[in-house]
Amino acid sequence: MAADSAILHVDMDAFFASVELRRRPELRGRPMIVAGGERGVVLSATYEARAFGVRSAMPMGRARRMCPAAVVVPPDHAAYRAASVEIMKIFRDFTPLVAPLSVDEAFLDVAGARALFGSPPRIAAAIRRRGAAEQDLTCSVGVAPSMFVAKIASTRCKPDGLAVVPPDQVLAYLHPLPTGALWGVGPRAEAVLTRLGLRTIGDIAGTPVDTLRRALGDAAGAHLHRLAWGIDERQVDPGGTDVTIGAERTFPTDVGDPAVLARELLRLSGRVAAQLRHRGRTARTISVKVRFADFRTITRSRTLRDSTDVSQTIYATSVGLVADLGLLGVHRASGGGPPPGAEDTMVRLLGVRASNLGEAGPRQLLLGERPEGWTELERVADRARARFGAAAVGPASLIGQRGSGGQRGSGGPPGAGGNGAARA
Amino acid sequence: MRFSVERDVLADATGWAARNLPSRPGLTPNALTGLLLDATAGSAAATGLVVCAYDTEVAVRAPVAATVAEPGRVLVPGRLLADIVRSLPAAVIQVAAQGDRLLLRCGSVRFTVPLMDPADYPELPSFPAPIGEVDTLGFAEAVGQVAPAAGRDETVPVLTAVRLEISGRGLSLAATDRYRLAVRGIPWQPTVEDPWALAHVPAKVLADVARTQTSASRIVVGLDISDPVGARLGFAAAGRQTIVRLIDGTFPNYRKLLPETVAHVATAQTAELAAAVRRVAVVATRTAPLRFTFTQDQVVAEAGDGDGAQASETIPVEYTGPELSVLLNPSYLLDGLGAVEDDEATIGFVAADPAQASARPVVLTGKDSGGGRGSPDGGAFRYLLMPIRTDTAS
Repeated sequence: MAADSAILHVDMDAFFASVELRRRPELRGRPMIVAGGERGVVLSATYEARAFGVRSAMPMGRARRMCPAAVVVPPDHAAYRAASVEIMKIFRDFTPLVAPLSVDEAFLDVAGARALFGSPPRIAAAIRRRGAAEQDLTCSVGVAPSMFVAKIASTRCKPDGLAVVPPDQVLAYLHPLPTGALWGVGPRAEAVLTRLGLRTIGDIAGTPVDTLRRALGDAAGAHLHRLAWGIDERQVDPGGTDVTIGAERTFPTDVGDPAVLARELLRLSGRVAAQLRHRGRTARTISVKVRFADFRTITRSRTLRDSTDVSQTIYATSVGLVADLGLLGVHRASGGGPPPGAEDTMVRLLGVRASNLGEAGPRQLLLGERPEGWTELERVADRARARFGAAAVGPASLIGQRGSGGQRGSGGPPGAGGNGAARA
Repeated sequence: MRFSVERDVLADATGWAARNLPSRPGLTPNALTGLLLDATAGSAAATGLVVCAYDTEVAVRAPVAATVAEPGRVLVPGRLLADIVRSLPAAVIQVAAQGDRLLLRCGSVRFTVPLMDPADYPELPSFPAPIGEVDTLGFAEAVGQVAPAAGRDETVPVLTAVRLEISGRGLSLAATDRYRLAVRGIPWQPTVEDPWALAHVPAKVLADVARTQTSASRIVVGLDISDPVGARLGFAAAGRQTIVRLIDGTFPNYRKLLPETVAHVATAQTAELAAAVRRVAVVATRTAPLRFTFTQDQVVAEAGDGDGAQASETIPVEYTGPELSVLLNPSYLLDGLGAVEDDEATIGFVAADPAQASARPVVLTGKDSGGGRGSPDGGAFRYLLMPIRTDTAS
């Protein structure tokens, strides 16, 4: 941990909506929603609209019912990207250590910038001033000794705020917060923790790490325990080594058929694996994203023991994750879970993502590993596709399914979804 | 509390106990960063003082020959105390608790250290019921051979353990990080009837026990499976106790990985081969493999890539098999060669077809210790190592 709080998390306030307000000043002070995408969801909303309960990723129908007076504006992603570039330029005037998390937020390490620009809180204030003066955009900044505390701090001082957490106050700051404020604690983990009687981050810190490991799994349990004690040794990495590779698909109509979901996972896994191999990378963490018809969105991830670029491994992992959600018919046999096709299990979007990336290289074999396995097979298939075209060879279960796999996911900010690489 | 003690005696005990203080202080209650000094009145110059450390996984107790003038129990910042005692000149140290501080005087040197509240200190587990004894040197040798193969990645806790199979016939040790596997069996003297237990002992702790408890000729082994928090294993030698919580989980079924026979065998001078590997590995970047090509009575070790530095060395071996080539991680190979106790090491290849050698395990043993020693794994040290493959090699 640094001797001082020198990590900044800068998060633009209602970014898309704020960019729109710059060219429609007449809408200032009124509820306004940026919405779009193939099926119409809220991409961003002014704080006036949020006061009515409007949130990002909400279906437009619901948003309109909540806030009928809102002005709805279609998205202009080119304008948002241009604004993002200008904002990131301001960050880089203070430090080269800028790690963008998406178009509208970034981590900055300003430890080396003190001599030039003063203390980290002064730098944070200067960034906020310049953003407002030069770009007419407000942001919220968390200043802390580590990335995850800085992120929590910025979230909690929104909008247009500045929160500084000195190193000796990290635990005092964290421990009263609800467990859900921790990175990595989603609704499911929160429910598990609540069952253990753990409601605050302090409760997690006071729990033996073995208990957490048993409840949440080895890696997640140990990780949360460390976070609860304020320990996060990740560095702000401007090199973008934290790039993820993912693919997702919004179905033209909602899907409840387990076979269709499994096939889509196979296709998405194949695309992710091919991208990994193409870029000479391997991944250790596989995550799936499921968005239901009612827009509830669930992501689940699993970290593998060995990094992989094999579609079969990615597929097996993502199927396991989705099956755990009861979506692949597995739960029927045991009598639990809702029947497939029920309203609340209809899937609108499915995504597979690989993260925790490393360089592919010579591969240390495992004891008991089959000498010739999927790795070799898929490399041969890659070569065949390179020579004879994409349809030359592929999994049998995807034969006759071509053409529907090329769609990109919709609704996300540029760079965050689809087939490309996005920073995480 | 007041006692006097020889500097060397106390330094040995605090230094040893401090090794078991929590390595990540932030993750454990603050009280555990302290060393507990427990002085009881008794016969003069007896072991009236016990130094304790506890990091929830491991508890240690070191008795110290001290003259206790006034009994008491204090908790002292652990690393600080160990550093202070080590820095003192070789003479008698007078130690006394005064209010909320500990006073140490040694000749003209004087230290005061703020005390911590011993009320916050958890109760140390008691030493488990003894089940047998093992020869200190033999145990240290076996642990030194097996522990390096244990995993270091905490994501699979059981792989960071040495699997200790305790039976009436012997102690069988195995460790694997799934890339290599080391096994060794040693005799022991059970003191209970028909002992049988499986214990996953953290490899770090076991290595520490083997390394440091060598003043006594035998180590007492104790086992407690009644603790609801988890089974514990205890080691005691010369009064020093290490009590370690065992790791839960399923250890890989390693016995099915051990080949019954090998198809081709090369015999090399252990030290000579290790020296060559170390030399050639100088040009191998980080995880880059070394290529070993075996032909009639020689092996060529090579490393480096086309653009950068390269190295090769030819080492004489006894080998009559077909030409075969295999890529190995040099540090894994060195762990194995370092563990071979014989002057000559044998390198066995499982596959008869030399083309398959690049994807099948290599078996390393000492040449003369191939026979069984009456324990479940035949006793002798065996080391299995999987090769590295590149995409171009096939």
